[in-house]
Amino acid sequence: MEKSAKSTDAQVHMIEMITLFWLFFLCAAFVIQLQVPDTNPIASDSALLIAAEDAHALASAEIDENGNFTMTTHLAAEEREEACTILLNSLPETVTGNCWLAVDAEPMGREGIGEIPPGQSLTVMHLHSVNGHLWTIGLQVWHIGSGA
Amino acid sequence: MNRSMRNDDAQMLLATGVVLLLALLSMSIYGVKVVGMGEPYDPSDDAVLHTAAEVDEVWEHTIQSRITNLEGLGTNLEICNDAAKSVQSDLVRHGEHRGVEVILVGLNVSIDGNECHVSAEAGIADRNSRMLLMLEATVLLP
Repeated sequence: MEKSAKSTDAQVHMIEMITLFWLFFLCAAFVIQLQVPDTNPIASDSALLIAAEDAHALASAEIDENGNFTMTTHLAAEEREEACTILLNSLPETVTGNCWLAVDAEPMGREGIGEIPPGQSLTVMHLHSVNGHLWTIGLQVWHIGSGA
Repeated sequence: MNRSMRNDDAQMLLATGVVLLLALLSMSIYGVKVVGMGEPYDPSDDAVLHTAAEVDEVWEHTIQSRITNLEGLGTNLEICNDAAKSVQSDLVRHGEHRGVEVILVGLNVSIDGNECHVSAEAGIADRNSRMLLMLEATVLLP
């Protein structure tokens, strides 16, 4: 009887250890499967963000010979490509991008020759009110050349 | 006596098992946290603040422009109401474009002489933050 009780204890031990090992391997397999991404350096993202915000600020502040804001004039005249050209030309040499526009409730559309970013890109969005129309301007940027 | 000792052993085993289980669970939680630390820098962290500022900036003069464009297409209240409602829906759409939820509720339009008062409560939110903003506009009727 004593021997039988000890055997049962041993079996319980075995089952418990097997359960624990199973749990341990399950947890280990779960942790191993988690893929920690290699993050982009913050400086790289910040450089992109600053480039895009600067380009937007520069393009928005550009004034034509009549003293009107060039980009606003283009948007008011529905000259989308021209408005986007100003934006994209304001980007630094090592950054390029796509320009996206939408007015009021229409869907966003890419203007000009669109490119597919080779890697990580970043988009800054702004809202402009032009003659009662609400323009959403999106500037999607990424590094090229030495900045990549 | 022997039986009592066996019970103690079982309880100790159980306690050990629970401790081991908790240790393993905390290990996996730590692993998940480590992965969280690896999340890339998100430049849209302040999108709510930027959106709120821009919505507030365009609110009044967009309504004013639309009221001017709608001149002669109804009574003063209708014109003002239509202008405010169209701006409201376009701002919601703008929020969808930039990945920020913009909800304008409690739109209130009233006429006072030659002026139209429009107010609304704007709820602006994304996955990081949310804020509430009162939008007020006083525009001249045509």
